[in-house]
Amino acid sequence: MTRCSLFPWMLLCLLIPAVSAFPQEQHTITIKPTSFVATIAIPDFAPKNGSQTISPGAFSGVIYRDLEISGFFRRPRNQEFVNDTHRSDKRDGKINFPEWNRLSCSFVLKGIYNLTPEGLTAECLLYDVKTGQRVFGKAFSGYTKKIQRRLAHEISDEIVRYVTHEPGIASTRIVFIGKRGKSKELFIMDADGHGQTPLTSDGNLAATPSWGYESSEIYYTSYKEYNPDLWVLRLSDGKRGVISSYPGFNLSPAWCEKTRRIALTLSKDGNSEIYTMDPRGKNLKRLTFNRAIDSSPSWSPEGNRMVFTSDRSGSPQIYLMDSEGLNVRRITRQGSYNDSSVWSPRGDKIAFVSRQGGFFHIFLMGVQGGGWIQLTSGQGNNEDPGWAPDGHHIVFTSDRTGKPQIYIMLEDGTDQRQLTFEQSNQSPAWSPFLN
Amino acid sequence: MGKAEKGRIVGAILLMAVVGLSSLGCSKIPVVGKWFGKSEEPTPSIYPTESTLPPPPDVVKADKPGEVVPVPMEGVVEPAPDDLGIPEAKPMRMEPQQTVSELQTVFFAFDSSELDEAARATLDGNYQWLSEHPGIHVLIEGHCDDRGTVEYNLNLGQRRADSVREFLIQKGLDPSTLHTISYGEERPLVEGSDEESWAMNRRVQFLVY
Repeated sequence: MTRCSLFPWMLLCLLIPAVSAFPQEQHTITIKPTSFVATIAIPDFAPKNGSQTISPGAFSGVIYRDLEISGFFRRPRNQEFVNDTHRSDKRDGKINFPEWNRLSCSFVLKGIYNLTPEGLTAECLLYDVKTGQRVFGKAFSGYTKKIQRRLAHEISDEIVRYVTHEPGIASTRIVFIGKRGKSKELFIMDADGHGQTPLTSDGNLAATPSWGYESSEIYYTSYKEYNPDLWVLRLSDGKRGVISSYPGFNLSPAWCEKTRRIALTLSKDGNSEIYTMDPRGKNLKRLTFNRAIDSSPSWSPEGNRMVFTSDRSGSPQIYLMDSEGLNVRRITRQGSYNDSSVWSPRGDKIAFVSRQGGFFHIFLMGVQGGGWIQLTSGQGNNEDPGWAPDGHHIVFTSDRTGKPQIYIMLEDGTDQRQLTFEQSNQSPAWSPFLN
Repeated sequence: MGKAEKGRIVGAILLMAVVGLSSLGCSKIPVVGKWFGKSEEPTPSIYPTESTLPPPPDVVKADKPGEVVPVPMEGVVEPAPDDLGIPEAKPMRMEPQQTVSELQTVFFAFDSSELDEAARATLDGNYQWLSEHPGIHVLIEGHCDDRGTVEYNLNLGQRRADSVREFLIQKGLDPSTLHTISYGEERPLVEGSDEESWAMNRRVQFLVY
């Protein structure tokens, strides 16, 4: 089998345990992670003649981490050997594939950059060690020194795309709520946790952010005007406005790019119900009509159905309905507290939170509610799951270190990485693909 | 060449064609070496900028960055009023001024918005004071302990506040002076993850405007 057709099989190995865990019986099981990971060597990028210099590991460091997060790659044990081998390649004027093979590398990425007053560009070549072939060569331009990391992320996404035929998430971003002092503000960061920047500084409470219209704006709840209203913040210039300011709360917006509507929770009609509205609060439509708490809607990728939480049976459980509010069905049948359901962008599974043994943990289940798989375990509460646009990664909040912080993991629960460390941070929302 | 041999050769050619075509579909890599000297168009910035996006519907026009411009609510289709609960009072949209010692805090059991005997007794006292001060606007804040998800607790806090508001309306207070807000688990009275702290945080407290 050629290299390029190997990776879809490897992907299947990742998915097969998940697929086979969706029988109609609903027992809780944990899946083992996939064991197929390729080692990629990335010698430090060198500057072109006449270029200004950047620190040696600026590209390799970022790309290594992006590729490790993708779940498909690992870095070699010793970067010194990598740089040495690269230097001897340059001396010999050719790629010493047997030498790279001795270092157990399956791929080698070589790059040069050019930093001038006009901007930052880079050129990369990716080699397949086993076949001794150049897999791709590409030039990247349109960047500056200030956004050098974004260039590295674009390179990482290209590598993931070429080698695995899956889209990369290195260029995506995560918005979240950060507690700073007594107030909770809206923040944004890159998917690797870098560049955490506040988007608001209201000295008040913000909650439940969601990416919005063409990923250019964020919808979120803020108490800034002395009531939990739904706000919009435009990312390009920070302009803000109020979308929905009904009495009671205006909470948990969920944007659907397909239908161009926001699903959200309002309590203006006496108790928490689910509604949809357009991006500026018009054309309000009510979907649930009962005395129970109905909240936390999440759209299917096609935009024709939703999952949500309701305690109409006496305890919070996950329900399915179509986007007009009809055909409501309960889909969780075990556990006394199930909440925060989010539909995978691949359409085939739901991530949600279930309280087990006194703690909240993140689970996966099929769209009809079958085949639970537990992704987190141990001490601490794990909440607010959200899907990366590739449908392979999940972002969530965990207080296992004492205070809520934001983590990401693969969809099988492995490679859990803490992204935030300051004070406390929660309610993450992963962007769609931004490129 | 015999018929069988011909057949085998045709079969082999067909097979190679099929394999060739399928491996063509599999190969997504560019022709090696072609990129040299061919200048690529600058990669567009992956972060959306004003110029690359169509304007969102009803662009919020503000004079200064960060300036708040509430969007008018005309055109909103109101659902028919129903009897599933007493509608909220219009929010006051300002900071409540003070606490009043006569308006005491009521507490709740875990995951409940029911008023127990102690709560009712406290609220009777609060009702007394409020009925002696007609026209005063009150903010009824609902709070929860930090167990449970943020959203569920915002709901539960609202339920607690609504439960208290309903009680006071039934006793005869003017609904338009009784405003509610839920802070969920966001504004605990006491930091702590033990029974005592949790019990202190499951509360409704009163502020006056």
